[in-house]
Amino acid sequence: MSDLFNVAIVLLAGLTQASLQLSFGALILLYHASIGKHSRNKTRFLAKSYIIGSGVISFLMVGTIAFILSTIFDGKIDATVTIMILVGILLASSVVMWKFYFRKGAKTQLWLPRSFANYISKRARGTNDVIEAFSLGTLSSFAEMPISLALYVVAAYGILQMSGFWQVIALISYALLSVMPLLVLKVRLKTGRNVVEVQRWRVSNKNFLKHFSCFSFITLAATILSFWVL
Amino acid sequence: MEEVFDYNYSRSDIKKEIIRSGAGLGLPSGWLEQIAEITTKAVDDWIADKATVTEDDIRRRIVMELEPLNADIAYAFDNYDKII
Repeated sequence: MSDLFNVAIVLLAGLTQASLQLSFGALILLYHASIGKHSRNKTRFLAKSYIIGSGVISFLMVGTIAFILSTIFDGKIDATVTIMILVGILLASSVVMWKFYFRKGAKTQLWLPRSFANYISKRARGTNDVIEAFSLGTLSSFAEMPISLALYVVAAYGILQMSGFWQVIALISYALLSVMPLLVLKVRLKTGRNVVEVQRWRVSNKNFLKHFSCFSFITLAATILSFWVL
Repeated sequence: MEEVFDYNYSRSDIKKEIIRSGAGLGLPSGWLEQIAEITTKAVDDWIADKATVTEDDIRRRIVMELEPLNADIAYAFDNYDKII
């Protein structure tokens, strides 16, 4: 199969990861708390560190899983069975995104246990230096792991199918795509929007975000079924 | 009736929180001070004849008092725990 198809699958997995909302929400909280407490420059550095933390986890997870797959399974996994399991997990994730990801009501509260969500909120509001911001970025990526792990596996397997040059491009592209919403938020806030406007947009377009995420999972499942199994 | 405040209620803490919320939206500090002062005074007046109030009651009252002054701060105050 050509490298380009695999790159497309990896990018689609990255786009699906970008549709997850926890990192975005934590960054909004960090921005809101930081703009009130620190200078603009410091807020920018904190946001940058947060985004780098989030992207680094995506990069490392995909790289690590690719390494594990290539050493334990010697680059090949039993394609039909394992990929069918992945397809099943992706389809289940699409149902989770549809029904359970967002809690009900005019808010963007997520599926997380309330105590953990409050902990992340508290950390976001109490972030005062770049190390904390970086750690918060990594924490928010880890917190999404129950949903994003399948995406990492898909991306890792796709990367293993490519030649060396494309592997590096795909890995970096995945990490960048996964933090694209955070970068867009940073640009929007820089160009004059405030966090309340962004949050109002999220609440009023909650259904769109939900559907986009759900259909991304379904599309990814269908794509890997078509290209890797059939 | 004598004013009785729950031991957790702190006018200055609420004022600080309103100012912090507004500062997070990039609003000028002098204006925020005024908004916070007006809001906390209104909340104090509201509490004065209540035997017991909960934290949620106070929060709702603050949002109600903030809404006509600045809708964005009221929104931020109301939704601080509804983002993730």
